[in-house]
Amino acid sequence: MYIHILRVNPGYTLGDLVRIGYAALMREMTDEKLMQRYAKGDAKAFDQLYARHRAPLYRYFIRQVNNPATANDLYQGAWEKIIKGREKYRPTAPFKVWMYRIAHNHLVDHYRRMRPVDSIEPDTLSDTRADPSQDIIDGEQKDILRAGIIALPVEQRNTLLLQLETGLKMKDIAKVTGVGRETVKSRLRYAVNYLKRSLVE
Amino acid sequence: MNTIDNNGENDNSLNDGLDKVGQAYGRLPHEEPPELLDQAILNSAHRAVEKKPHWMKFGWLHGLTTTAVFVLALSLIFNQREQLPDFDDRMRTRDSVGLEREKAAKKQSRDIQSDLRMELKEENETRQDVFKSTPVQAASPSEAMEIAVGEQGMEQSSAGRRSMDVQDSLNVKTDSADNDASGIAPVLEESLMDEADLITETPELEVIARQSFPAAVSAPVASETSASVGIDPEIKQRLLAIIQLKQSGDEAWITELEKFKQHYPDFPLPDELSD
Repeated sequence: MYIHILRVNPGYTLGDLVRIGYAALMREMTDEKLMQRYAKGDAKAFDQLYARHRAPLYRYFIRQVNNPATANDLYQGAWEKIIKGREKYRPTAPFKVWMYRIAHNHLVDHYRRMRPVDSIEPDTLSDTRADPSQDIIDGEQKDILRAGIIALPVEQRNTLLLQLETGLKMKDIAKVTGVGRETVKSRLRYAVNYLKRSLVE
Repeated sequence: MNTIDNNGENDNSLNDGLDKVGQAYGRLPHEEPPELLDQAILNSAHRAVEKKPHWMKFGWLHGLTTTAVFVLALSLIFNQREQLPDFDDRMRTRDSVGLEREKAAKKQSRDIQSDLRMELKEENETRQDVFKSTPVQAASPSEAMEIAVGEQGMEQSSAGRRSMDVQDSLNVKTDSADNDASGIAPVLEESLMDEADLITETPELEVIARQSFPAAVSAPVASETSASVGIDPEIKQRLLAIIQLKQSGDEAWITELEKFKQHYPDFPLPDELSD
């Protein structure tokens, strides 16, 4: 591998090769190993971990709140909690489950703080749904979907986004959200049926 | 592709719905966090695992200790500055009082010395006048010597007492004053030695002394003076006068002697008069 690299880039030094090799090693490491290395003080391991999960986590937040500023705050806050909790991490659970559980709890805290002003009850959320007719007029399916996701109740939206963004299995989503597997399935069914109707209409 | 655990007909419909929704979801724009946010998070993560030196972990303690030492040093300096003027004043006052006392003691000792010198000078002059005005007869030289020696002892002992008194009075003064006061004794002793020399230089008295007290004349003056301490000079002068009368052949010496005996019945008479 190194010979091939030197043939393509003959100007590389030994330090460059070491860095390339280290980065390749990092890329092959599992999330759990990377997190353990970071907990022991390897900052490069965190860089790799962050590169893997930054975009899905960010979308998880921005599609929850539909507000970039709030999403940025939530995203940064979630990563700060991950950094602070690095020594508490145990590889008995997948890193992704541990990370999204932190993100989920952070989001729930955010909703609790917002509750007096901006109710998040499913019944009241139905009143705050975006106008679907506007989306239909635009003819943009993705806008309909985005509006539909925002219009979902918090729990259904949260479960659906965990399924779509992270690809977690139902049992892992149940661990992240702290509910039973059947509850997760039920929420997913309601959310999917609502979005299907919206898209067909 | 999103999959759900297949638990029957409901799960199949759920999986189909998820596939459709997932396809539509995949067409949504892929938002990403801002680069600044990425950098902030990465910096925070790197700072969290940076290895700090051991003393940096207790940086607050280091700062606290430095501040405490600084404050303590400042308070000590200011405290000493507040006390220093008082100390100087006290020292200045003490010095001035000591100097005044020393001056007063010196002045007093000088006064005493001058007084003593004057007294001694006057007494010497008086005694020389007596010796010159009264011719000494060789009738009773021993008594004359005794009187002379007794007189000298008297003078020296009284001078010594005065010296002691001076020293006592100066004990409360400073050391320098004490030194001045103790310097009086040698002066007095010198003046008394002059007197003794004057007496011994008188030929008549020396003759009388050699006849009456050969051992006393040859012995040092200082040892003799102790034996004749306490004799009244008036007695000595009267006895000397009686002896002179007797030696001159005047019969009045008997009357004078009787009077003397009446006045001083217990006083032992010299050999010349005891006959």
